[in-house]
Amino acid sequence: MINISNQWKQLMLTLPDNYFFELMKNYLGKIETPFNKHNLVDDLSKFLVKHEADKKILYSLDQKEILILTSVAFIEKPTAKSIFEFFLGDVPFIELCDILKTLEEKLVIYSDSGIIHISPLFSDTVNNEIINPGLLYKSEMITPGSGTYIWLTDSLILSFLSLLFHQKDLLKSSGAFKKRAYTQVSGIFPNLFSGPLGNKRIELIRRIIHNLKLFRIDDSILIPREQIWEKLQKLPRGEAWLYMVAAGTTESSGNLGDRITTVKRVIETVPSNRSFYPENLKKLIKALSSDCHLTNNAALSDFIEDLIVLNVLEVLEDGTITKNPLLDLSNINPDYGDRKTIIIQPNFDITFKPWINFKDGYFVSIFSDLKKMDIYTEFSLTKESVLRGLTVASIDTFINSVEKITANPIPDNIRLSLREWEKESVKARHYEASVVIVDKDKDFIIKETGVIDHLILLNPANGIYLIKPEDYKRAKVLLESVDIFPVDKNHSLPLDDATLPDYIQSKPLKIEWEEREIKDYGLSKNKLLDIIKNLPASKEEAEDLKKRVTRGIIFTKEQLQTGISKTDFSEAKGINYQAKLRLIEVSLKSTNDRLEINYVEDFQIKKELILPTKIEKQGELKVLHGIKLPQEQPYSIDISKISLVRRIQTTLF
Amino acid sequence: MNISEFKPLIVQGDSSLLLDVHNPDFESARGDISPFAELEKSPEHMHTYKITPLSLWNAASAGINHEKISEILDNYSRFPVPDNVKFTIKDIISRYGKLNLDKTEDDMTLSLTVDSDMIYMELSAQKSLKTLLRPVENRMFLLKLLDRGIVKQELLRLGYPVKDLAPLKDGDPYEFSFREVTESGRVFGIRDYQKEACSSFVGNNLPGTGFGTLVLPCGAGKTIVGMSIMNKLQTNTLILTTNVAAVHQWIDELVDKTTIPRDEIGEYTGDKKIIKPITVATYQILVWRKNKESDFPHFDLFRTGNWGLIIYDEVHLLPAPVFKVTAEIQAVRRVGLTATLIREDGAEGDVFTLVGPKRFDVPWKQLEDKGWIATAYCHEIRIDLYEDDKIKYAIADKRSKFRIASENPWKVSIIKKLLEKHRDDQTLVIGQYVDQLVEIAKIIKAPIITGKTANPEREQIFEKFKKGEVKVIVVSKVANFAINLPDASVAIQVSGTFGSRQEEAQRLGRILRPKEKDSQFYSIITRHTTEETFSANRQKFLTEQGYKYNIEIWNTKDLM
Repeated sequence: MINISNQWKQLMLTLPDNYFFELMKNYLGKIETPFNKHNLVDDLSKFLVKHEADKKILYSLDQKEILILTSVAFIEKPTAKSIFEFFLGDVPFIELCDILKTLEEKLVIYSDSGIIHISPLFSDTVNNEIINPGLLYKSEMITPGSGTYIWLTDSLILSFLSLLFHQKDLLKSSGAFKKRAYTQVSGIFPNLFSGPLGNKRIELIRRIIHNLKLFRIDDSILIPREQIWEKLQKLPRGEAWLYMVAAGTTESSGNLGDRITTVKRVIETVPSNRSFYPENLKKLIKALSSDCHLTNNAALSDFIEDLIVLNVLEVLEDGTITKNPLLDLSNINPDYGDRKTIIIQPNFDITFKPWINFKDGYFVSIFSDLKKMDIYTEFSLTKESVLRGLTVASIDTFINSVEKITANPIPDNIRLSLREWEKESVKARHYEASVVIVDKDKDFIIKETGVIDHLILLNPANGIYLIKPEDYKRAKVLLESVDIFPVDKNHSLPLDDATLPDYIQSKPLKIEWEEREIKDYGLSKNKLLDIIKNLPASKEEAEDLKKRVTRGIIFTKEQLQTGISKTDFSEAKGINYQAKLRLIEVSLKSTNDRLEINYVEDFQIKKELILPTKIEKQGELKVLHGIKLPQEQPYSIDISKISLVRRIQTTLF
Repeated sequence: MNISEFKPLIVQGDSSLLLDVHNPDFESARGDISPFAELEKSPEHMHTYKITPLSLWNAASAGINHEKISEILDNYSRFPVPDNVKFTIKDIISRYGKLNLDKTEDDMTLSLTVDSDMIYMELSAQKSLKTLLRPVENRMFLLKLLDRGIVKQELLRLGYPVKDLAPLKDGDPYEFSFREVTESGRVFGIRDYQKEACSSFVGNNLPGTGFGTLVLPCGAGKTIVGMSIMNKLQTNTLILTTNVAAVHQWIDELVDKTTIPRDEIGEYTGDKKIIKPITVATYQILVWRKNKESDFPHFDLFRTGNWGLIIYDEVHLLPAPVFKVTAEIQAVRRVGLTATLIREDGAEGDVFTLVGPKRFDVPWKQLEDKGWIATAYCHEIRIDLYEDDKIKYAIADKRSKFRIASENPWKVSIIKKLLEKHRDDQTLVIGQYVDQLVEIAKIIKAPIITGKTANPEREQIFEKFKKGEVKVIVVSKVANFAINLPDASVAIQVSGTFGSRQEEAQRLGRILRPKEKDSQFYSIITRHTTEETFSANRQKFLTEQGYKYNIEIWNTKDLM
């Protein structure tokens, strides 16, 4: 269907004159003077309707044109550069520019400030019949297998919480695991961390720990960041898992929010009943991703590999990739109705069931030593582990947590031992706090008003108050409100404000995975080419017409007219230095012209696409300056070194 | 799957098995996995078994193949059995039967045949086997009969179990039967689990049976099991045990429950060297020698009698030199008896190899539930360190700290209180340090038995204790093993050998013989000292068997 809208007419009228008339001549033939641009656009409309241009143009698009058109529909704010990057170099930039210009000439797309849009003229047919995600993200229908169990669980991260909290010195200052830690981890976590895959898994765990900021390091001791763990505990299991997966696939926590969005969209978009070759999957992920770190081929390969190791994706025997059929974000690691996620026994053993969540397991991990990570993970309560746990939480918190989960009182012998150890732990104490010292004549105000009572950690002696560093600012304001103005002495504890990032909840792409079959309109280019043979046209003119037929911008015999061709001077090569110089000067006057430059280096012909900016005289030499595309890097070359220069129009608009 | 459909077994990735005690299929699962998995611990909710190369080879020797094991695991497993576990089982079991040990025409030589060129070459290149194995053609080695045990031990270390097809020698026959009413007038019968333990050892008398270790809780009647095996085999028997009191106990039991006359039982100890068709000896006399360089003269005991069976009582205490001689007598049927196969020197593997693999094991609580051993309640009483000792303790080294804590004078006051509470009960006060025990004995006016107490005096005290004429005796660690004190129902442990789990279990074992009332086991430890940590370690074996310690903190003011 052709939609002749005012918007489209307006677009046509905004074309630079030279392109406008070129286009009109292509479709309407020679233009008689006097002319009126509005009338010409109306004539063009009539021509298009009369000749069913939508079908003739759209149904004869070749596969590459359809691919690129589909990418325009799927990429957010597509530009020539982003489309080039999207295809990961599969389509050379010069060829891509040529196809985009052809699609503009076919009136299928247009550009506005470099951003490419599908033209409103054919948009309905393009969207409904032409764009072909099945072709772009080529995939095969498969019968899903039984799936791979998901090893990244809350239980695993909780076991690392216990291991890293209770064992000193396992991490280097860079955050990497020490060699000793690898040995220890593969001993405690049999199977999961052995062999090369094991090392990769440990690396992913390291990234999760680092990117989610699960710990802060205090003099080689790792302290859990309570605010982060609290947030993880509050998240639904599927969402917490997304955080972990995303954190495992990136080197930097800076882009974590975008990475979470990307992982979620991948999981929700990729079906389990189709398999993809890696290159096609990369394109899909690229289209789904808002993450600026997922732009190049290598980064996408790494990302896919990480997702495979994390069992989000799985590789089939033929090398294609599919989504793990066991993966269901709404039902990650199901508990089968068993809410009693821990088993505590009188011999001080604590066992985690595989479906334990962060909320249930946090305090147990803090208070007990990891013995073995396996399907059921085993811990042991010891005096040392409990004393360390007491630096983070109280015995009551631990006991309440365990009793709530097990719905039973903890064994008496354990309870009593815990209480004994608790008593021992307060015989010598170490606080990290801000100390407020107040003279007698001010102290009575604090006592009388109780103004900071709720913030006092400890009042070890008259006039001395310990306050949590993060509460100090509030305490200071409150003290000032009662005319006590503490002077900050040596008070420079940095506040730890690490938090988990938010991410955008976007909807998954709905993609028709099957390849579309484009109707054949029965247009015969050969018939048109035969007509050209009988036209009274010069050789150059006939060649130009043939090219237009081949490119599909001439599709009726009415368009085959002499005198419409613009036999522009567009290429200069060899020893004709002046011609090359003139061609460069001409293209400098047009904002849409790019130059293809060929030159010889190391006995090989090199090609570059340049946006020319100026010619500079340097002594005897004339140097062309420009911007190399699509990299957008500055570029300069001595014009005498150029063996061939070709003018290329990349867009009409 | 929902919670009600949960199966009882969790097969972990490291080949350990967790068995859910509360699952309706617990009993049948336990029965089915026991032949190929060793029970590691059996606390209240979840029992742990371990599949080891040894347990798999034992299963293989009993004719169980890897398909059957996988089928059992699949049948009971809550989650899919990890592939690596199945692979490992298949791989390990496949090694069984690759090496066969058999007799040759020469009685003093055995043949070892290998069914793979690769293994044959590997063994040929092994330095440790060079002097033991003589290669001959057709992938065969020859070895001396006397080296049978050492070769098997070394091959096992290299990961190759030997299928021992060489027949065991039959000793001189010795016929006897059990009495239906004991000499002391009680009706006597052998319990089902004792019969089961006996059959698991004797088997079908075919190659591969007739050597092994049986693990039964203290008080479960290991002596009866030993006598049952003797009765099945009807052959001359050498019984080795820990001390003279235990020797006498064995002799008394044999006379009491079998038709063997007392004069046909020999006592081979420091005092007597009598060898009879049935001879009971101590480990000490076997390993006695003039000096470090001289031979062990009493090792001849193994070689002189034509024994058809050797019983190693309390096999976990088998002294290292006896390993050597045991290695030489691999043609004789031999059984190890123990309650706690935990060796502080880590030589459990040697026990399994030389005496024989574990053939039977039963959780303590299972026998308690059936009433075969006494119900015992464990208490840990904590008391503050004596005020005067606090500075001394603070500045002492680690070893001295433990001793200061162990000898805390408050403990005597607690003992007095406990004795008052149990004034009608037969009570043992057990400790580590003789000085402390002497002091306690003096204060509570009770007889004391230490290593220095002469045997007649010991016997006299035991006799009075058995008759109830003496209510309390103080004993040093000589009481850890094999002292038959049938009427003791209370044990008070004042100090121990650091964190020894075995000692703790054995001491509890002193009061586990079934009786009308429940038994009470008290362990007194000094609060907030290293004794607490050692105590926690000591209790591990028992808590893993399902015992719970009731911890009480006593106030020193109440003791003043």
